[in-house]
Amino acid sequence: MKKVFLLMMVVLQIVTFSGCWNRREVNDLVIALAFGIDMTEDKDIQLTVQAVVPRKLGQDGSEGNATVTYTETGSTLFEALRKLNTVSSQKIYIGHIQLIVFGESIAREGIQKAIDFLERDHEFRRQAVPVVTKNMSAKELLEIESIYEALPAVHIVNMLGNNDAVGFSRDMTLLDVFEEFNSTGNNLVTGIVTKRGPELPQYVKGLRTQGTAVFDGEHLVGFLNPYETRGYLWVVGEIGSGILVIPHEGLPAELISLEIIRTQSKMDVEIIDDQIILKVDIKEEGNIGGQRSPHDKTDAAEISYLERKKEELITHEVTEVFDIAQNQLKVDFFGFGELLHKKHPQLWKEIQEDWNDIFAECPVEIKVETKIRGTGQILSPSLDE
Amino acid sequence: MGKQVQISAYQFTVLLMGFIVGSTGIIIPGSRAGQDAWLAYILGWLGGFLLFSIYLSLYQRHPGKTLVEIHQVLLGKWLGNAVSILYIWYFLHLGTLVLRNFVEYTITISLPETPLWFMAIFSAVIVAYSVKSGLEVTSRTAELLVPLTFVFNLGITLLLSPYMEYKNLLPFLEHGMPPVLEASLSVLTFPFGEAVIFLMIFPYVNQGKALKKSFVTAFLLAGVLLLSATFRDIMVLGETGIERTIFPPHLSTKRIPFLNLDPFIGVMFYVTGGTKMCICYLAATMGIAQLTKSKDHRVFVYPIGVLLVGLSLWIYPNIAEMLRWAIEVWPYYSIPFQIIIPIVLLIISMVQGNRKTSKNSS
Amino acid sequence: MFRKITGIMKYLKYSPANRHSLTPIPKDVEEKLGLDIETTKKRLDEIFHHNEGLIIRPFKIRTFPRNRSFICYIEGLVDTDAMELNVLKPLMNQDISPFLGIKTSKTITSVLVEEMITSVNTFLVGSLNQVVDELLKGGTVIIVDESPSAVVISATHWETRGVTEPSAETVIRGPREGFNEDITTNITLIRRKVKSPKLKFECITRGIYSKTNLAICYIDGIASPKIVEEVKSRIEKINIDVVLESGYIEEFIDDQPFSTFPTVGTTEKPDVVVGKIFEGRVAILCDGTPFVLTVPHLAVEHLQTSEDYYIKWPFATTLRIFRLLALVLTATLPAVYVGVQTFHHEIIPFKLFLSIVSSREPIPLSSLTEALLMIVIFKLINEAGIRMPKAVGQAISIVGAIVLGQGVVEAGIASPLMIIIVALTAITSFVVPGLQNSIFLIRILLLLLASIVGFYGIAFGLIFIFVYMCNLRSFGVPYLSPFAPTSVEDLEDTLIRAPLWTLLIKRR
Repeated sequence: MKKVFLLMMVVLQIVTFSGCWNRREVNDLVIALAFGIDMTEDKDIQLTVQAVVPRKLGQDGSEGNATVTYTETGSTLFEALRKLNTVSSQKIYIGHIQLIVFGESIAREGIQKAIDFLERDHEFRRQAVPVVTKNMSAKELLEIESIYEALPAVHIVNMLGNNDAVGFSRDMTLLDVFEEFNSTGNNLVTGIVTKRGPELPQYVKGLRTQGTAVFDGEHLVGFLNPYETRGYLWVVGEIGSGILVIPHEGLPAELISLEIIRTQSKMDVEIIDDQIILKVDIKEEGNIGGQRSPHDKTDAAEISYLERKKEELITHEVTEVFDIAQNQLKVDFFGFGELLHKKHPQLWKEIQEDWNDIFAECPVEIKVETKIRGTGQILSPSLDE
Repeated sequence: MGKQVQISAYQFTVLLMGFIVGSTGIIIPGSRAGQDAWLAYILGWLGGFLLFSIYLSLYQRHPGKTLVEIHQVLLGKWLGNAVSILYIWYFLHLGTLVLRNFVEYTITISLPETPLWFMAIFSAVIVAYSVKSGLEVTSRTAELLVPLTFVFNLGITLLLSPYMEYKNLLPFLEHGMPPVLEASLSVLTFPFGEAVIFLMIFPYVNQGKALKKSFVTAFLLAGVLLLSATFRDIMVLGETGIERTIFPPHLSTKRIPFLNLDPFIGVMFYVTGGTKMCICYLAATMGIAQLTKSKDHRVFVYPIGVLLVGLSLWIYPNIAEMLRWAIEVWPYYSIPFQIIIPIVLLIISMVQGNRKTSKNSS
Repeated sequence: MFRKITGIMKYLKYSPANRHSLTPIPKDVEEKLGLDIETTKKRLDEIFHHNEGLIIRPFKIRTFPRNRSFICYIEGLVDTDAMELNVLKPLMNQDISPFLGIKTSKTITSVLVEEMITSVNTFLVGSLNQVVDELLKGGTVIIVDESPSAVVISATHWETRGVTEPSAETVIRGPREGFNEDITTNITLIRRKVKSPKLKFECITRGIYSKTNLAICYIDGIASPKIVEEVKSRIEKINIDVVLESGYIEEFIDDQPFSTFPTVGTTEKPDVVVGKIFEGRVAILCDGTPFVLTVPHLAVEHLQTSEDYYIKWPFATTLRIFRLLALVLTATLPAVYVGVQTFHHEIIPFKLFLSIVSSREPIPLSSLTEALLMIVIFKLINEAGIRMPKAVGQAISIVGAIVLGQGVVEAGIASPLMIIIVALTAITSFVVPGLQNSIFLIRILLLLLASIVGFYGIAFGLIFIFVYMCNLRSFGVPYLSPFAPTSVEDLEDTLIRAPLWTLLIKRR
């Protein structure tokens, strides 16, 4: 019976002395919204954290944003983060990170240094949105304020997410970064943030989130502009929606905008006579969204013209991006290598090492099929002649 | 012997299901085969059927007898008891592994600062309470909770279905059969072969004839569940994801946006892993009770429990060692217990049976 | 210190079998009725010394003028009108001596019973002890000089509460009558619903001083004879001075005296009792209380109400699922809150998390303290509200709602979310009233565990409770059946309420 008493004592001890360990009250935490990772000139890691100021959250009419940024450098990311605790008032909590910014400096140097901690830590939010800055540092980005949102990081995340409607950036999470970073035969492509003008803007609205950054392994090697990005998205089949603008038949100044409704694309590799052929098969459906000319474009012949034009445009966008990949950057960021690995594992083993070079030489076959489904609520434009 | 405790065939099925899913639910069985893990799994699964049939036919030759008693009958008193002691150690060791696994999981996933010993004691106390209450109560609790984990697992698989890419199953047999076979051996020994422990439980099932049916049901259900989990994780994570992470199923649930299931997975693991721990623990205490010819296994619950917790803390210095052991040593360590001894026993039993029948006929 | 604890532990090991023989039963000494009426009278006076209620009225029986006699009863227990009309009037007015043969004083009393007294319930008793017993039960006793037996006329009459709607178990659809404090009325209420000789009532008197009537009620052929025997033997072992309420019985016949779950059911409604006895249960009625016990009592009964069987089955099923939901919520909600607040921040959606953060920002207490404080405050308000006179009850609710609820938030002691949690917990706890007290303990346990290791603590606590509940039995029936051990055919009246025809066909 003494056993029971002892057990009770142990339980009591546990209850009373276990106040520490992993126990953290919400108000004992500094809630980090965004991580910005830069590389200093001394090759140290500079970490900028945008954190919530809860006091400013609930009140109406409080001035400015409800955030604060802390910056600290360290030889590793983890060290910098721990050092930040000495700057911030409470322990920094990273379970609700929304945005993770890789500064251009660290992206060029190699993101491996940053990613490992993110992947290893048990708490870091895997659904955070990754982004790479262009022509600015992560610290600068995170210090920009937002007018509309109380939390600038959320504003940036929303901006990136809204690219879904135009197809100018990539919609991805940190998990995708891990996956693409670790896969063989594929390279990372992430969204970017850059400033609109030459000056660093005061507010988030002065930023641009169109375009993508291309990595070779862990190094940033180049950027794609919005239309090249769309070309990339056509190939990998991640395009959600977008507007394709086509010149009017005969009147090149009069433009017609077509909305992308549904797309489907398929990448494939084929080996014919020891030659690896890269194949892209894109199917697209869309509607007429608006036109600048008063000419009716809705009869059957005109629609087939529009479809043809659209096909040309898409093919053009895709060819452009292949040109960049094969001739300028010489990096396979589509993942054809991965496909090859899956389809021809033996061959892949032999050429794995210099796949990027081989990739640059491969012929590409692009097949595009387009359709126009609807014309909106009107049949012909006003002032139809 | 005191076999008044009776559990129904259904309870037995549930126990067996919980046991098989056990701690396997948070790792991918046969993950060493990369994207071919499913194939390794299926091979191991089929082998599991075969092994369990051996155990069952061994039991059916000696109905109403536990493993310890079968040893005594077939191997004689001294040798039999020695083998029994080895088995009891094996069960205890298995329980220890599961306990450590669970603790390691919770600590890696969500409570890194909580000390190992605390989680170990905390989880072992409840298991000990359940064991102390006896097989009947354990199986009733299992009956209540194990089906929930199945529903939960199914739900996760459904939620993850948009993120599955069948391409991740390719290339098929990239490195040929050897790694697959090697992985299938580890699947066979963990979890299917571990069911050798049920030789201690068989005599307590009140519908001895339904054993075959329940075993097939349990193997099918639990096997399909694990198979679907294997496919799910391979398709969601891909080869590298599986090979690089410690607990792949946990990582794949991170794919579900706006939903963080961390602690729930841990809890579900505790239900099935706890069932497994209970069975190991029960088998060990009952084995000792039968060896020492004491009527009540309850006396041994606390000492064994202390041993269980102590061993689980002491047995590995770190998680890397734990994984190495589980993958590289465990399959070979298990072979004598799971395969060789039962087959030898079955052969001896058959030879003896033949001799007896021939004696009777002559 | 240790010895004290071991003493307590010893008590913990008490099983229902040896829990009863705490005080020895004093044996009554048989006391013969004296032949002399004066001695009897004196003796009665002695027994009822300082007990003003005993009325003794001497009178002469006209038929036997030589034998002195008196009638005695206890004031307030007896229907005096009936006595006058049916007893005194015939005895004092009629002379039937011409029709009688030999008259000895020994047979006088039987002549009285057989030929003169017109009351229905009239019989003879032979000893003084019985006379006293009958008097106390409300009988009227006639004692005749030189007669070895006394006549008892049992025509009791006292004020009882009417058959009203019970306040705790109100229904929207279904009979509104409830039991009252009179066991005879209660038996009648049950009898009126079951017109079959299979309905059995077995009466036992318990309580050395209170001599309370108990009735064990079951349907012969449906109730398992083993359980009936078990109930009888357990009740027979009860040996206490006074039985005031069925709760006394409940505590004595409980399987697990230290269980925090009720393993004996109580109800105030005859239709519920009849429903239960037709499910094979045994009901125990106790004089002096409207609460009837039913055994065996299983956990699943808390999800069922009598009304479930009076409304259409899909609705009843929905209600039961909501009851289960309420049960889960009321037990775990504060613990989940604390777990989320202190361990698992990441499982809350981001926007909700932000609003929690901003609402909790000014609060100095840890969320465990906050939760415990609010739960305790609520429990106190609740307890006060029950004991208060109805008129003051309103004031309590105002104090509770406005002063504490709003005040606590404005003072920055608890966050608004905590108030919502506590309010939800409170409301849901009323959905399963039978388990309220057990759930309260569970809630606190889970809360503490959640504050140590978060959701793992909750899970450990819940599994512990499951194991504990699996350990419980009520009169040999596992407490969690039909869930564990699962019996598929019995599941149709648990979470789902299958259509009545399927339920009733099987029951036949």
